[in-house]
Amino acid sequence: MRASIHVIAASVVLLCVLVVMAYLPFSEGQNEGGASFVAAKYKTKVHSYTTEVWNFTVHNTNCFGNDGGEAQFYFDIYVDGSLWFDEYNDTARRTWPCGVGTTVSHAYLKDWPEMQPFKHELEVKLYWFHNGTSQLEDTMAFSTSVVVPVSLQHIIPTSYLAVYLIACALLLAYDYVASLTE
Amino acid sequence: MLKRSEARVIVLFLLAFGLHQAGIYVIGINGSFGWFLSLTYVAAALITVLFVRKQHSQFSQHGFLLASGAGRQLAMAVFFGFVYVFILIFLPGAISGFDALPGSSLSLNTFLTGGSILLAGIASETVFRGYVQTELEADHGFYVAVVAVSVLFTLYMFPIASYWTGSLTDLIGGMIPFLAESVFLCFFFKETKTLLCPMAFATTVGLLMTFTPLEALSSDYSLAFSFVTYLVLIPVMQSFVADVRHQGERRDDTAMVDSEEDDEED
Repeated sequence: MRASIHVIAASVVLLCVLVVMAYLPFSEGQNEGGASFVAAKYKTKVHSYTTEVWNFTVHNTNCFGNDGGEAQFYFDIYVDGSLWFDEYNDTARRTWPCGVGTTVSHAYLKDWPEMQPFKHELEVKLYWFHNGTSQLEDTMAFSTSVVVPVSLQHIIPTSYLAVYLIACALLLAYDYVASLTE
Repeated sequence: MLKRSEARVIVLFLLAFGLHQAGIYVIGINGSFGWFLSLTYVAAALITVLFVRKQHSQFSQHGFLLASGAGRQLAMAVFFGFVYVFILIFLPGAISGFDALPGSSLSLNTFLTGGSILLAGIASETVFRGYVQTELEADHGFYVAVVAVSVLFTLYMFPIASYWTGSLTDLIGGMIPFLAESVFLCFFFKETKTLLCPMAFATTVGLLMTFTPLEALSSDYSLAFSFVTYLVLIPVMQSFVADVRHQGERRDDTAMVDSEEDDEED
């Protein structure tokens, strides 16, 4: 009887912990007010010479536009610490609107014309353009691994295959020698 | 009504599962908190040790021992780890090609990841093979213990959040490798009687899967390869272990005969 009570007690404690974890806000790094990222779609692994689509969703809590209009925002996207896309200076539209209390999604394309596998660190900054000045509202960071399709004859699989075979041979040799000497 | 030993098994599993989920959750919030996950592994292993102490059973019964021929057993466990990952990566890769992934540079983070994998192997084997399997095997026999341990181990290891929105086929498909791994590790522990071997195997597989920057291009084969590999490895492992054991017994017999001859001469 006591054993069953212990199990029930432990189950209840675990359930409570999991429920608390599930309902805790998962909003590290987000602003209390202003505008912030609420969702982002991206791939953590992409093949080289393919185009990736990033989709960022922003919610405007209390950023107001000029003269009662909708607030204007734009993104700066950094790849490995360098500014890759400056929406304000690189596009004709410069900014996009997002009214107070609304949510807007924008998609961006990125090519990865790379010969070697590489892990890229990306950072997206959300700016509110107001009265001729830009104000940073939120930042999000993620990483993407660019992978390269290769055949068995390529140097990377061949070298790892050799390492595996040598390691297996050494372990078997150790086993044989140990069986003779023990 | 639950027996005391069954209740202890369930409580230990819930504690280990809760700690593991908390560690994964904290890393989900902040990736730089990897040390917290390592801490949960240490805690799970220590709690298991406390459970063993509390019921006054011998640590050697729970696999905390180094048998004769431990060096060979360790080499064998590492060898099987290499063979398993080799089959999992290179056989399907030879058919469908590979994805070359970014390699990891030698840094403090690499060592921390390696340390975390080692602790994960120690914790999972201490809990599931050292305690849960030993306790259930004593009460219900080996095969019931294997089934129960494998189900619990799969629940513990399975990244539920990644499959939350997937289909039922994905869910079951994702679970099969963990079930197969657990069955293999249960047999490995039963044959060798020491936790050293399952720990070394789990750590080797974890390290190789993490630090080999290659993936088979198509995942269609990997599930079948993983499952079949474990099925094939079980009898191969058993024959290896039997060889080591017989050699140890022969050596003990020879030593006994020698000592008897010495006594007769005296």
